Amino acid sequence: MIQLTDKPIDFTAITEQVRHPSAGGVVTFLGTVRDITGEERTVALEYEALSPMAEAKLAEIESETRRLWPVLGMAIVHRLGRMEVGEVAVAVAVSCPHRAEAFEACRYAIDRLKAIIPIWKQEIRPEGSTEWVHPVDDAK
Amino acid sequence: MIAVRVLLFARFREIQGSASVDVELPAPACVLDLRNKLSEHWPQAALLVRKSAFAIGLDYVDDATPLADRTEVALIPPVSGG
Repeated sequence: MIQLTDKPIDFTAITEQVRHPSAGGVVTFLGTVRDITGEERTVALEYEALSPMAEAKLAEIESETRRLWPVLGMAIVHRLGRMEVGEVAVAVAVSCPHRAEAFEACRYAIDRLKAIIPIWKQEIRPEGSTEWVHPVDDAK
Repeated sequence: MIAVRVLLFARFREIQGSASVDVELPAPACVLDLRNKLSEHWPQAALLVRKSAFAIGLDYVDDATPLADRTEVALIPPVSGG
């Protein structure tokens, strides 16, 4: 299951959704809004997406992950819009027969998401200035 | 000449002050020609243009991809989701 949403992410429900009688391991990763990056303080982040393409790429990541690991249940949800410090921007939940596979599959999915999904965040500073985040060093 | 509409996001939309920019290129043109044209259009963001990707429809396209007249191309600056 993949989803882009403007609403807070119910990560408990997402984790519950991927549970499976044949799964011995469930891993849920949450990406949360951090208050400081390097020397810069952030009070909030604002995310935007190229939505149809972002959804298509999320679906591709789910398919790739299912091809590479024995995934029983999987969900990727990314929130868009403004989020305050501590809020959950992304959740990736995966269940597999064994824990090692579940950890690896979840790690793979979030790393791919960060590399290819057309979503961008803007840091909002305490004094109200804003800065788009474009990590040039990691660019493809 | 061909005309393409470039859809803008994040810092590029901020720099341009609008969600798209129309670009004319001598035919035949490919994505690399568009990339070079945009580098000239925003000299202050030439590095960011060089590090950006392009997409048509739901997929990334490489620099060699030919551009047809009236294509909509998304300019994808380095992504920062998650």
